[in-house]
Amino acid sequence: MTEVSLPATGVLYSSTIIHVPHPEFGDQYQVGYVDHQEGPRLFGHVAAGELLAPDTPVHVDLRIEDDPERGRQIRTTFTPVEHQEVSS
Amino acid sequence: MSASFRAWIRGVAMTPFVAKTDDTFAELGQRAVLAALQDADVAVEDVDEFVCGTGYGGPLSGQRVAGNLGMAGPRILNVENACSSGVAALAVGMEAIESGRAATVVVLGIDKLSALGKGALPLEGSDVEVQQGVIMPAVYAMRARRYLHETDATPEDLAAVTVKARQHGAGSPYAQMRQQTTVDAVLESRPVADPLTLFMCCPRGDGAAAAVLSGSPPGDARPGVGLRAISLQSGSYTDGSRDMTRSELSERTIRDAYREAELTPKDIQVAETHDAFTIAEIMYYEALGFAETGQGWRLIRDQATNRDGKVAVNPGGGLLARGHPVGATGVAQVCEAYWQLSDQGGECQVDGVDNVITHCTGGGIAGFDHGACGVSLVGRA
Repeated sequence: MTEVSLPATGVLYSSTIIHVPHPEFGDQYQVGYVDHQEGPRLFGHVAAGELLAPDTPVHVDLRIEDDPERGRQIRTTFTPVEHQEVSS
Repeated sequence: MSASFRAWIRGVAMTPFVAKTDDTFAELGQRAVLAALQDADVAVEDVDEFVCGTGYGGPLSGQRVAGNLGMAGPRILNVENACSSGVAALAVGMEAIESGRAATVVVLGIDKLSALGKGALPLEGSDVEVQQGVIMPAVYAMRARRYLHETDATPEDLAAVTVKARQHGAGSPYAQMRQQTTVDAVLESRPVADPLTLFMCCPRGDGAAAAVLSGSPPGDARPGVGLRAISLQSGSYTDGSRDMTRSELSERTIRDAYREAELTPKDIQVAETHDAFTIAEIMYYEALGFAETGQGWRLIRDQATNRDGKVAVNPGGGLLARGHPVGATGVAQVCEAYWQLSDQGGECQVDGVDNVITHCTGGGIAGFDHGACGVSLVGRA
């Protein structure tokens, strides 16, 4: 295993909106895979109202939380780059 | 033994696959085992080894089934390999015959998923993707979205796979979903994970399927059917990108099985493939060598995989119509193959079948295409 630093942006490979209710994420939530030029592919949630098209550039936010009951939890969020520029 | 068979299949049986059975796990398995032994004309006392494949049955599943059948005492082995548990059990049984360790082996595939409650199958909670809410339909939905993005396939093509599965399943007494449907009805059914709707996902279910393997052919006039090869492989791991429109694992396992059986896709009349979701069947047309990469959707559009098509795919309805009691599926596929090869397919029978390929794969795990894949080639003597 090697440690690599990843840029804060990547490209969405594919995503889907899940319509099966989840105890933590609610009645529907969008998930996807994002690729980085450096190699790694990350799985996470897509913060967008509509289904994003494959190949959309996204900003990546990765948080690691220590949950006393469930142990280490990883939460990755992808936000469309344009969307973020407009909103920030 | 015929040089071309690694084990003879002397008889098979399965229970109808249903949403919920009143049988206990043991009773469900016993129904399939006893019926397969009867089909094979083999006595319980003559069974040398019993292999039980189950995804969710838990410890000592085989012993629970074998106990009051009088089949316990000799070696019983329980095999878990997610959706490939059944075919993995078959591989163990075949190897037991081939090695000479056993003359007669009973292989059972079984699961009673109604015991787990409703919804998508439970996955391992420590998995980094499961923590973030991934479910198996979502993995296939992402495959489907990328496939639709890269090819000229449409959501209607995805729906057409279900229409075909239900047409085929209507003729099978074992299938759970025997009502015919239409492309529009499939597209309008409840969304599960875009673009997959409920009807594009196989139902779960309770069911068991069993096969009796032997080192010698049947002593009577019944047709000789046997296993020419089973290839069992695991997925390879990567933390990098992967082409999700293809299954590297399925392609590799299928290639290995064809090579071992010395067959090519042109030799196959019937395929039993792992259509847990409609996009999967389209991808697997390509993996099975029936279509070029990125062209699988053309087969469903041209109706080339119907029972009377160029190659019949899932003539008994597949997982989409039969349902998918995880560990049972790999053995059920071989039951279907046996019936096709011995002209016992009833309404599902395809004309002139000499070779059937069965393909089973699955197991959601981060970094893998899939956990495992098993492919068998079943032929007529």
